[in-house]
Amino acid sequence: MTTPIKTTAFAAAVTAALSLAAANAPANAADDMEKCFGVAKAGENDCKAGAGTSCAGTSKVDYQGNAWKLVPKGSCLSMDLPGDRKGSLEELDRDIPS
Amino acid sequence: MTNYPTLKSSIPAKAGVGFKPEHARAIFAEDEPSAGWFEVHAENYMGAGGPPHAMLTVLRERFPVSVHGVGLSIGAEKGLDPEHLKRLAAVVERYEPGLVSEHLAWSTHDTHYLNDLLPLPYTQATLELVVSHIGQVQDALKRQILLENPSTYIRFETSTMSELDFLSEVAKRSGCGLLLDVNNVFVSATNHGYSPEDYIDGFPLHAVGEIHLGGHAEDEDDLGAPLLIDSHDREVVDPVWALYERLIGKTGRMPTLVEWDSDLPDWPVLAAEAKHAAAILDRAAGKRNDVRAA
Amino acid sequence: MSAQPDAPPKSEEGQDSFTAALFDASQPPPADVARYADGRLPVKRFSVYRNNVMVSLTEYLERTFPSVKALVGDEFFAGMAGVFIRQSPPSSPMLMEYGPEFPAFIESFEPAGGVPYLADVARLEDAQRAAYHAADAKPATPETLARAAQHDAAAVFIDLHPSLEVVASDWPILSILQANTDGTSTPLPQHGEDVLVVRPALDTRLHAMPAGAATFVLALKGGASLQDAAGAAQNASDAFDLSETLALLIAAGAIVDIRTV
Repeated sequence: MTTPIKTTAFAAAVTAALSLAAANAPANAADDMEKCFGVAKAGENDCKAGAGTSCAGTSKVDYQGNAWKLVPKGSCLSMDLPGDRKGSLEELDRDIPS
Repeated sequence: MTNYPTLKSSIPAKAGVGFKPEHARAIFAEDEPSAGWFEVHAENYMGAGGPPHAMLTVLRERFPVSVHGVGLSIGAEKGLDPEHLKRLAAVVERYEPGLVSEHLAWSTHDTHYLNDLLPLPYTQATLELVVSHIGQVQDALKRQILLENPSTYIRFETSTMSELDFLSEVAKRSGCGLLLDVNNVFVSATNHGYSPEDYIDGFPLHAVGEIHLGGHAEDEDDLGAPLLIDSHDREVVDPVWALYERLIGKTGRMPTLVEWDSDLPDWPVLAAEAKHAAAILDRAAGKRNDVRAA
Repeated sequence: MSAQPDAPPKSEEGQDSFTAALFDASQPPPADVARYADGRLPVKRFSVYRNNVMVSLTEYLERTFPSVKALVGDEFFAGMAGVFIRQSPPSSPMLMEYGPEFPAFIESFEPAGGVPYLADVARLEDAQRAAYHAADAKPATPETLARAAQHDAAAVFIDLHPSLEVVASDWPILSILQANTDGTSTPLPQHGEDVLVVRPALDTRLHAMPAGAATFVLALKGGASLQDAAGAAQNASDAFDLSETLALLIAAGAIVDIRTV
């Protein structure tokens, strides 16, 4: 068990935190409204049909382990992961345990 | 079954547009609104909070709004989801929309939500089912709802009545109103080889409370015949405008919605579609006045 | 209208068989679907429904997990999403609730094994999804926070913002995400990143967390007192700094109230 935080230490932490935080303007609903109008970040329900009868919904490419042929081809190929792990892709050592 | 009065809708008999957050800034910047009202999909406003509610609140302050459910699965064999019905009731209570509508379709089976409007055979059994479900919905919302005719790509061997007869009977027995989607009429009529004009002429127009218009994609079926898909990703085509004009000639001015859900254009393109519908509404009103004057 | 009563649906009819055929493209259309006049099965017509289900749900996942998609490319993402959708279709008509199971699926999805951070990036994008739709709340005022400083830390409980999510990772997921969304191309850090996700008003914000802060915040979220949460964070990391962490939470608008007992 760790040592309890002294009340004075806690008070100091809150006071310090308040002065640190004061430098940041708080979030404001009116500003946010302007920002969020005109953008839809979330997926929505709608009542349209999918685009055409393309084979997207009828693809028989189902995943049965060995039958899967696709490989990732996106930006993961160019992500410069720490310690030049692009090739090995092993899990990183963490500085900070969580 | 309780009969709820046909509401004196607060949705004006004008051209409206399906609301998309992407267009919010352009919509609110207009001095002269291009759309007389907006429609939203109920399911997108069932979250606890966040931008969707903030945007709908602002929209509702400035425009009449109707709520269009896409996920209630009124045709579900295994019954309505009571939790979902409660969520719909909460959206209706919170935003007090001028109209509430849903689809003649199913989209949930067991615990699976399939995110598409799937077709029903038109039989005595499915009629009972749909009528009973609409009763449950209207009781939960304490108001009348409108039921929309579907776009379909297949027919069922088991159907014993036409879609027209089915919808007329549903409206008569449940007391619901109908939402007539003219693009759906054109899509289904083309796909199944019947006359869209006859469908419009035979529709129980006294029950219609709202009209939908939208764009569709063209494909071919296994035999090479045209197969139209209700894609809502482009302009309304001329034959659908012509059907709409024929319909408005019979009904007079009606709340009319332009839907566009995919490959969204900039707002002016949708505004132009709304103005096209508005011009047809004005022409119909003009003709009616002429008749009265004579 | 027919006055004849309908026969009860056979097992190969109705919504059971329709649903099964939607997800299995090797099956013919259900038996109650009308054939063409020449007896042929309406395969393309039924495929419209198959397509609608798969394409609409795939598009939803693309929109919810844009960085995951950028990392593995369109084709791989669509293939992976297809397997996921068939395995775990949405269970609610509220599409906005679809997604929490996708990261664990990615983790167990062997073909993605070469991108070991992919599941954690998906967790971060799912946290943004959740924060977007979470309940709204106003962050606490500095005065409220200052009052708390009068009390014993063991008696102080912090109410966090309902939109708050913490995603801890052994990989630099925040930097990876930013590189894939804003095109930020600074070199990736040499260590894992823990990320605080909060939507104090309408805009969801992501913050890198200092050492031990994830443990601290998760303890608070679990109902621990400030005293106990700080203790847990110190155990987790010697570098834990209470002032720095509280400053982050205050600046992020992550605290909505402080209760004392």
